[in-house]
Amino acid sequence: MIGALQSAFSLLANLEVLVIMMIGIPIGITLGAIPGIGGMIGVGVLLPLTFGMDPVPAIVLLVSIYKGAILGGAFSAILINTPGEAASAATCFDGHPLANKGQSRRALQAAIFGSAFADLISDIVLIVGAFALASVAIKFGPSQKFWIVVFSLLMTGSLTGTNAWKGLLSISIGLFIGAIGLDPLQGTPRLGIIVPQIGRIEGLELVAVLLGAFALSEIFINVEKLRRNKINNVVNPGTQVVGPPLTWADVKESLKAFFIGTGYGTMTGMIPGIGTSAASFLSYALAKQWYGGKSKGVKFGEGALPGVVASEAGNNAVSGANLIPLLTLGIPGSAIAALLLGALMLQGITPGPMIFIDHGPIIYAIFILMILANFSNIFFGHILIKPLTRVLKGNPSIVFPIVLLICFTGVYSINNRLMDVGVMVVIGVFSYLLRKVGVPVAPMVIAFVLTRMLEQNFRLSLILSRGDFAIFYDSPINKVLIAICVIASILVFVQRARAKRALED
Amino acid sequence: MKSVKERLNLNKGDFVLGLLGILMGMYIVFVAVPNTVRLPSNIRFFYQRPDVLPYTTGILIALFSAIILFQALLGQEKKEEQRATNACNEEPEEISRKDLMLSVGLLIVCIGFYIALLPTLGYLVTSIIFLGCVLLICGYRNILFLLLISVGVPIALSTFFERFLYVFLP
Repeated sequence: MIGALQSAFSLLANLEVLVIMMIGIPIGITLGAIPGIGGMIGVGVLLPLTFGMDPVPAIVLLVSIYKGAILGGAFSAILINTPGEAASAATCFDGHPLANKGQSRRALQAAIFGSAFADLISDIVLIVGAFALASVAIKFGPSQKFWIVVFSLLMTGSLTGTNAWKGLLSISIGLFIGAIGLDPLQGTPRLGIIVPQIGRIEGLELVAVLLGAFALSEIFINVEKLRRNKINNVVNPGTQVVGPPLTWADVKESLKAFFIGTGYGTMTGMIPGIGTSAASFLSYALAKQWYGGKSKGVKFGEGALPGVVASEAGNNAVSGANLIPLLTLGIPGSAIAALLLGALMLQGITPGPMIFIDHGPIIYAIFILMILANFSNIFFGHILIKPLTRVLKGNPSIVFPIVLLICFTGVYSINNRLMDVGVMVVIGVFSYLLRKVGVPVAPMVIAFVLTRMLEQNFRLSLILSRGDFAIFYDSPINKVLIAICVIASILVFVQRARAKRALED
Repeated sequence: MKSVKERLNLNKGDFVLGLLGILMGMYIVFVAVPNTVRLPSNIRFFYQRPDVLPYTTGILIALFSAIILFQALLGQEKKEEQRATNACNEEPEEISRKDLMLSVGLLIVCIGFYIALLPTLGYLVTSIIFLGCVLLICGYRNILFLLLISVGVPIALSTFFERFLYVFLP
């Protein structure tokens, strides 16, 4: 480990890497602040462009954009009551009322500090947790990996969205899309429906599916919103950044909310499927309960500063912890993690238990830069406060067509294949239609990514056991994993049923 | 107790989703897999078959779609999905779904033409026309800037990809 750290520092001696990080953060904050764009589209669009870069700058650029975007979402949530990122929706509840009271500066600074320090703690947990989990995961055989993938898929499918069955349907569709292409063991073509060439390649291009499912479907939905806003004459009001700065008394008052958000966000970040939005809302709800619904005489929902801090700490604390299952097991726990998986694979880095052995210096260099990126977030967050108010007053209709063209060009550039662009469009239209009927798209993409791992480990286990299914439940680890899958599934369904009954009451 | 027609009205989206999902699952199991997955001659055990996963996904899609269809028929309340970007705003007045989907439909048609014409007209010309059309669909009406963006962005992108990334566009 010491040797790897030394090599990591030597990789960082190259100033180019630091400059790239300093470019990525303001880009991310700006993209995150524009409603409808967000970190996902930013990372997705720039992902193909990193193909020609070295691994460390490429991954650091994308992670910086992601970190900046989550903070950027708070800006629009506070200033114009429209979260730039879904993860910042809960920030609206108290952030915008504070802006309306002429305290937008205080709210923005609380969001900046809450986000950055929660992210820092999450990154430290990532560094410690990833190394520990990798040491354990290296002993996992194919049958254990199979159950871990099953657990991830069950959690992602049943926790995302409002209806668990729609989540599981999304997972099944993702598995089907992942099965298109050459069979991983036999090498025979399969599922070349309509376009036979699709069945003869090694699976659909990951970046094309990711961009189609997230970027294109999001653009389609935003084009609808543009049309709706035009008909309803809705204009971005914009808000001036005014009022007193954050004080030490505010910091002391908000500390409890910060620790609630950070703790909850970090824990949920490690579990695939929960995501930043749920962590943000639940952190807010927990903080509200803890404070008894009021802070310094102000009710939550009417401008209580701890509400802003809890929401922002919750959504940012997910980001570091979310990379633990990604790096150590190769399992993306969220949509953005799936994009980062694509980035790692484009760079020739295969996530899994061997990642610290095969690519130790690179991974440690990325960890160090992630910690530095949090301080950059504080710096650029403050600098961009005023410029972003001008951006938020601007016309969003100019952004989406440009992003669309960049997506097409970027996807084409990966394999110089027009078929990939076609795949992206088909997946984009399909994902848009799924979202219209309430089927979440993130589980579909995560299932697509995990299909090969699931199938290979299943078949490999049976090859090793010569067809004996006992390999899946014989060992103590497998029994524990099966029990976790069953108990977690039951708990999720019970919790959903309780929540539904509470709503009806 | 609501009539079947009233219940279906509440959950039209789920009903259509369930039905189409079942059809998709059946298509996968009875048409797609048998016609597109060729079994090699050296197969001795079922886990060597390349069609196990596709069949499984087809069955799962049909099964979960049937459950959603069943829920729609039972008249389960359609929960309002939290639209994060409008989470805090008041809901705008109702707009016809056709009106909204028309703009998206036009966009999809533009994209289709873009992909079809790309090999023939080349990247620059097709992208300039495409960007102009999409800006108009998105409601951008400043003609001078529209022309500047439609021409400037494709030129900038093609220069960047060809000069810096060595990717040669059609």
